[in-house]
Amino acid sequence: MLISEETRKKLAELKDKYPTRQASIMPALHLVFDEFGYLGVEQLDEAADIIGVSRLDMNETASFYTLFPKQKVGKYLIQVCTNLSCALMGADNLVEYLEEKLGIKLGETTPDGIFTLWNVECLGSCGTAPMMQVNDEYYEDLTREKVDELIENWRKGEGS
Amino acid sequence: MEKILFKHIDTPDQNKIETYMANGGYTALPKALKEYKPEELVEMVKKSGLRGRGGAGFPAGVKWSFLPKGTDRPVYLIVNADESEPGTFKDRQLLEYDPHQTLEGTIISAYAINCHDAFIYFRGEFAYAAKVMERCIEEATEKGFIGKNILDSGYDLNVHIFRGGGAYICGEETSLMESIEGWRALSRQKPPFPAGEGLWRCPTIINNVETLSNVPHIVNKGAEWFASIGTEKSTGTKIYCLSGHVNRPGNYELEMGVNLKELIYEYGGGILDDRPLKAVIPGGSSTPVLKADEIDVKMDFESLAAKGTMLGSAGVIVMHDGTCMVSALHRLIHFYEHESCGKCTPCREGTNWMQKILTRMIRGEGKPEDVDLLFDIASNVIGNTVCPLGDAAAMPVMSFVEKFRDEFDNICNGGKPKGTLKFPFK
Amino acid sequence: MADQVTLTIEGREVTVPKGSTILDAATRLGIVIPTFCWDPRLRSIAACRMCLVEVEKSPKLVTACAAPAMDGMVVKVFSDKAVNGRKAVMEFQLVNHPLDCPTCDKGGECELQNHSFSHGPGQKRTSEPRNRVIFDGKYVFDEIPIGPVIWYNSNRCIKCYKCTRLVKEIAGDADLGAFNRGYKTILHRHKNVPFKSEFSGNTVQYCPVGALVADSFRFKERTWMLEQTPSVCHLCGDGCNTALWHQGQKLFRIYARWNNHVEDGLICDRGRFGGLYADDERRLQHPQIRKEGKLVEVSWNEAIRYVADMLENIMDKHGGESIGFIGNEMLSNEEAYLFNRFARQVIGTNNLDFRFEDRHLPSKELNFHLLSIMSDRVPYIDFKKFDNILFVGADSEVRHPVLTLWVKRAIYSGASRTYAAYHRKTDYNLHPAESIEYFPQGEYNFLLCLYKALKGDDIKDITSSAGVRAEDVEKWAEDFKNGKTLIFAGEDVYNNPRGTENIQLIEAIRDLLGQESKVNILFDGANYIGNILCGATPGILPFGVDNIYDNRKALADSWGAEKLSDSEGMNTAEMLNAAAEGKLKALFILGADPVGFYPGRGIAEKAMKKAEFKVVCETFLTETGKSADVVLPLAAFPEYEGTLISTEGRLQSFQKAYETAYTSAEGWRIMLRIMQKLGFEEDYNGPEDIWNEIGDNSEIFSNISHKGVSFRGLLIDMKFDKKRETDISGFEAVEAPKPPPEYPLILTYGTSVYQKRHLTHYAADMEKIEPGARIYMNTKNANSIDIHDNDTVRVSSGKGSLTLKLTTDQRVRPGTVFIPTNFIEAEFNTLLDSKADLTFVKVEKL
Repeated sequence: MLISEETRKKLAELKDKYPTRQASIMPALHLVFDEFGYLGVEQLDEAADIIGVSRLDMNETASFYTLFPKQKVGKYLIQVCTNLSCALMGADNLVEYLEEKLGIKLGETTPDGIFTLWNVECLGSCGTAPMMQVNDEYYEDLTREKVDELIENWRKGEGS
Repeated sequence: MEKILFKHIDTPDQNKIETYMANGGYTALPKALKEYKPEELVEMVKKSGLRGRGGAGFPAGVKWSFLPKGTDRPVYLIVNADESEPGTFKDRQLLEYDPHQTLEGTIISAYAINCHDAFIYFRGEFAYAAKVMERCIEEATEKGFIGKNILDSGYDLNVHIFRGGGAYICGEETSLMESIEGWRALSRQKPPFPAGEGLWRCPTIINNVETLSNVPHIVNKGAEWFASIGTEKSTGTKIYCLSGHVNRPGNYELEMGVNLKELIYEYGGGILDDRPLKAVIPGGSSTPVLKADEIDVKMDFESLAAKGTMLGSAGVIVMHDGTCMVSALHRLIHFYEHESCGKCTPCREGTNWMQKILTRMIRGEGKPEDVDLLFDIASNVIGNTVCPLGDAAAMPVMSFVEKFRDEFDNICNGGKPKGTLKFPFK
Repeated sequence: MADQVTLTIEGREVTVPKGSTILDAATRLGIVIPTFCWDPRLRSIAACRMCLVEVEKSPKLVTACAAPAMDGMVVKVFSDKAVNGRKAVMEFQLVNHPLDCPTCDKGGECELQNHSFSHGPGQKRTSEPRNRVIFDGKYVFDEIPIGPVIWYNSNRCIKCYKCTRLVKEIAGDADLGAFNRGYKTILHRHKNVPFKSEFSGNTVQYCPVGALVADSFRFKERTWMLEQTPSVCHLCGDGCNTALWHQGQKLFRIYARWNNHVEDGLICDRGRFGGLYADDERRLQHPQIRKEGKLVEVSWNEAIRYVADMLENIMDKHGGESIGFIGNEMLSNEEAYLFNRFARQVIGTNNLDFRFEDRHLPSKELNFHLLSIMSDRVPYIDFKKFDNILFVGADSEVRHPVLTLWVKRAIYSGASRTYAAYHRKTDYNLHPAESIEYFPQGEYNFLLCLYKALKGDDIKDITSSAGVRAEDVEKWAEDFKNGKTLIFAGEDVYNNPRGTENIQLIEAIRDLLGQESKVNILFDGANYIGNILCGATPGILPFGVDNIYDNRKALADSWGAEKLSDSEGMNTAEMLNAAAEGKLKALFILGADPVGFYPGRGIAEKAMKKAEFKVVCETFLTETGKSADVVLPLAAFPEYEGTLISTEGRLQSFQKAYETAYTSAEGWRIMLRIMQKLGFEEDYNGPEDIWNEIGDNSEIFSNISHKGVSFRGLLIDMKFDKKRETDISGFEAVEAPKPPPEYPLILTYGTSVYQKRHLTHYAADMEKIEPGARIYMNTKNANSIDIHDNDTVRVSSGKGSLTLKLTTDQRVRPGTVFIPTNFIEAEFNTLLDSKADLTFVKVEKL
C-alpha cells in the first residue's frame, strides 16, 4: 500500500458522492497527486480499487491530463509559460536563464532531485508575463532579481 | 463609466463574505428568491441582452430557455472556470479577488433554471482560486445561501467544485462534461446539445464565470439598466485582457464596444518602448489577427465580426514591429497541437502537421510551396471537426498567412526572419 | 406519419423512422458513405469524420453517421464540397500511417486501403517524417504482443476507438483503452494487465486497419489467397455463425459471419481461436486396432471389417442389448439420427446417449418438460424487451458467452437489469449484475425461497438451507414484481438430483410473475436439442417422439425394420455402471471421452476395462481412446457438413470447407460403413440425404430443405405441449450440504470460458491464454489455511488426490473450491465419487 491512510479515507469518501463512480476520478487524481507530486501506475491502481472504478479507466483518464507528471519529479516543479503573451515578454530568455542557473535543460531534474524545469502552455496569467508556476503557486512579473531570490530561498530551505 | 464586476476588485478582503456583504453583496439573491419566479429570471436575463463571455457570445437567457420544460431528470448548472485561452486572464482575477460575486450569480442562475446541483469547474492550475472558492462555499452555506431551503424559499442547492487537470479542451462544454464524468475529455458530437443531454445525459447549462458574475447586478438594477450599457447588441461591460507589447498590461473592465486603438494606447499606455505596432490578436489566441492599420474598431461582437475576426474572450495580444509572425504562429499552433484531444482526425492530424511545417519554417528549412500548403491544411481542418478547437487552430493560421504572407514567403525562400520571439527578460 | 421523416439524398426521396441517421437513410437508398469509426452495434462518436456529407442550409459539412435525419433535409453526398471534405479527411488519415501494406496482415481487406483508393487524394503532400508512437519512453516500430493471442502495431492505428468500444461497451471488459491525448493518443492495454478479454479476437476482425492482428494469423497468408466457407461454431450451444478461412486443407482463421440475429458479428475467443484445433497435427492419423495389447495402425477396410465382425459376434452371443452407444452433444442432427438408427435398428438396443459430462441426467419426462418450455422461448434479439433477466444455475458468461453478450447489451442500453444466482459469483465486470451465491447444488432450496418470497411467505426459516440471506431474496422478489422477467434455467438446474422439481419451481415462479414473463432453458453443447430430437437419448425416439410401443412400431415400419428393442434403454451413467459390472459387453463411443470427463473417473475406467470390446471414434487420442480396442480417426468440423440446433432453438447448417484430412472419416460415414457391413441395406450419399429422410418423417422438420436452413438459420417451432399442471404445494426445503470435518470444502467444477473439453487444448492460442489447470479458492478460505496465489496445493477427497496450482478468486463462494474440467492432465474427475451427490475435499499446501 503506497497511499497514506489519510488519503485513502478521503478517496473512500468520494466513492458514492456523484451519480457515477467514474465521476470521482478527477477529484481522486488530485488527491493522489497532492500526496505524491506525480501519478504512477501503482498509485492509480490503488486509488481505482478504493473508489471502485476499473484500473484501466483510472489510468486512461490520468494519461489525458498533462497537469500531472507521470513520473517522479523534483521537489520544486518549475513550469515556465512559454505561450505567446509570455514569449513576447521574454519567456524564452527566462527559460535560458533558469537553465543556466539550475544547470539543467528543459525537461530535466537537478541531480539532487530538488528542481525540475518544464515549459508549459498558457497558464492564464498573460497580463503579468513572464511568469511561472512552481508546484501550486504562481510567480508573476518575473525579473532576474526575483528569480534569483526565489531559487536562493528554495535552496536555503533545502539546507544546502 | 462605473465598473460593475471590478467595482470592488481592489478592496482588501473582498473575497471574504463579510466584506462582500458590506459592499452590497448577497442582496440580489434574496431579491431573486423572494420576488421572482425562476422563469421570470430567465426572461430578465434574456431582456438584459447578456451574452456569453466565454467566446461564442451566445445570449445567456436564450440558452437557458432551451432546457426541456417539465423534465423529471435533474438539471445541472456548470460554471466554466476552465479559463485557458492564451491571452485571457480575467476569470482568475474575478475568482481570486471577488469570488462571492460569481457564487451569488451561480446561485441565482441555478434557481432560475431549477437546478439543485451546480458544479464549478476550475482549470487544474487554479489551485488557489479553487481553495478560495471552497472557503466561500462554506461561508455562504453557513449564512444559508447554499444548502437546504435557502433563505426559507424552499429552494435547495449544492455547489460542487471540480478541478481539471491541465487540458484546454475542457473549456469546450462537452469536453468539460466528459471530464467531470471522469473520462478522457474527448468532445462530443452535437447534437444532442447540453441543454437537452449534457452532464450524465441530463439537461445541463454551462456558463462562463464572467457571464454569471453579471447576474446579481442585473437582478439588483434591472435588465433595462444592463441593456443600456454597451452597444445595442453587445450589452453591459466587458473585461478586456491586455497583454504582450503594451506598457500597462492587465484587465480593464470597460463598456462593450470600446475602441481597440483606445484600449491599447490610452488604457494600455501605448506600445512597449514606443515601437511601432505590428499586429493585434483581439479576442484570445484563436481569433484572426488584425494588422496595425485595422485596429480602429469597436470591441464588441458585431464590429469585430465585420472585420473578419471575433471578440472571443477579449484576450488582446499586442505585438510590436520586432515580432516574427512566423514564430508567433508557431508558438500558437504548438499550443493547439498540444491541446487537441485527439478524437477527430482533422484536428488531431492537422494541428500536428501544421506544427511540423511551422517548425521547419522557423528552422529555415521551409520550402516556397509550404506557405500555400499550410493555408490549405488549415482550410481543410476548419469546419470539419467535432468541436471548435479545430477552427480555433485553423483561424490564426489562415489569418497570419493571409495578412503577413510576405514574412512567410521570405522565410521559406531562405530569407532572414523579420523579427524574433526571443525578447529580453529584465 | 409522426414517427417517420422524409428527406432527399442525392435528389432521391427516402422515408425513415425518426431517430435514424443520414447514414441509415443513405444505406436504405443503396448510397454508400464511407466510414471508419461507425459500427451498427455501437453509439456513433463521429470521430473519424470520414462520412462527411453536405446538408443544404448547414454552413459546415455534417457527419452522416451521427446527424439525425430530419424532415425536408436535402443531403448531397457527391457534391464537390462533400467530396473534398472526405478527401481532406482521407489525407489526414494517411499523414502518419505507415506504408507497410506489403507486410501488413490487413492488406487486401483494409478499409483504409479501400477508402483511400476511392476517396483519397491522388498524391501525398507531406515531407515530414511520420510520427512513431512512443510507449513507456521508447519508440515503437513493429507489432508488439499486448495479450497472449493479440499483437498490436500502434503506428497503424487510426484511432477509430472501435476496439476499446467493442471491448468495453459490449463485452464489458476493462482491458483495452485509450491513453494520452492529441496526436500522441495511443490505444493500448493497461501497463500491467495483458489484453485478455474473452472477446479479444473481435478487435482484430473489426479493426479497420492492421493495428490489431492475431498471433495465429500473423504473417501466415494473404487474405485474397484464402477461401471462405460458412460454418457454425461447435464449441458451445450459442450457435454463432462463423466463416472458415482456409486454403486447401489448411484452416487459417475463423471469423464471425455476422448473423445479426445470432452472434451479431461478435464471437468469443474460444470459437475464434479455439476452433483452430481442427488443424493440429497431433490429430489421429490412422485407424488403429489393439493387437497383443498395443494399438497398431491398420487400413480403414480392415478396421471397419473388424468392428463389424466383433459387434456381430457380441450380438450373437449376448444380444444387441449388451451393446451401448455413447455420443456427444456436438453430433449434427444427421449424425445423431444415424447414431440412433445404428443403435436402435442395426444393433437393436435403446442403450444410447449423447450426454456424458453429467451424472444427474434428465429423465425422458424432464426432457419433454424442457422441450415444452422451449416451445415458448425468447430469441436473443428480444432479451432487451425484458425488464429483469434472471439466471439460475448458469455460469452464463462461461458456458454461453455470446448469449450473455446479448444480455450485457440489454443492460448497457439501460433496457434490463440482471440477476445471477449461482454457487459462485459470475463475472459481469462493467455490466453489473446483482448476484446471489447459494450452496453448490442449492438450486432447489434457492428456487423454493424465491417462490415463497414471491408469494409473500416468510422465508427466514429456510434461507439458511440454501446458504443465502432472506433480505437478498426478498429484494429480488420485489424487483421481479415490477416489469417483465426472463428467467434462464441453466444446466445446473436440470442436471441435478432435483432437476424435475427445480424446473417445476421455475415454472411456478414464472406463473406467479404473470403472462409476460418467460423461461429459457440453457443447453451447453452445439446440438443438445437436436440430439434429443433426432433420437440420441434412450427414452425419446427421433423427431421428439416418446419411446412407447406404438411409436416404436411406426418407426420400425418406416425404417423397414422388423422390430425395435422394447427395453427402456440406459443413459450414459447407467451404461457405465452396467459395463463396470460386466453387464454391458461392448461400447461404441463417438466423439466422447467418459474417462476424461465423466464425473467419476473410477467408474469410467472400470467400464472401459471390463467391457469386452470398445470402439472409440475421435479426432485426437483421448483418455478413453487409450484403453479402446479400436480407435477410428474422426473428421474435424471443417471437413463435413450438417445441421445443428442452438440453445436458442435455431436450426442452422454448416458447410464442409475441405475434404477430410489425416485419413480421417466423417462420423456419418464411419457409422454407415459399419452398419452396411452388418446388413443395413440403405445408402446415403451424404448428410443431405439423411436430412431429407429426417424431414420426410418429422412434423418438426418437415418442409425444411437442407438448403432452406443454409444462411440465417431458422427458429424451429417445437410444438410440444405448452401447459403442464404441476403441484408444488408440498415442496419443502432439504437439508443444506454438510461437509465432514476431514474434508471441509465442497468441490465444484465446470468448463473454462476458453475451453471445450480436450479439443481446444490442441489449439495453440488456447494453450497461451490458459496454460494449465488450477484450483480456484476464495481468498478468505485461502488465508485461513495460509495459502496464497500460485502456491502448489494438494486437493484430496475420499476418492483421490490432485496436485494443482492455486488461484485465489473472490468469485468463488467461501467454503467451496472450483476446478475447471478442461485440463486432461489434471484428471479432475479422479476426485469425484460417482455415487454421492456432492464431493467434499480438503486442500493442503505442498
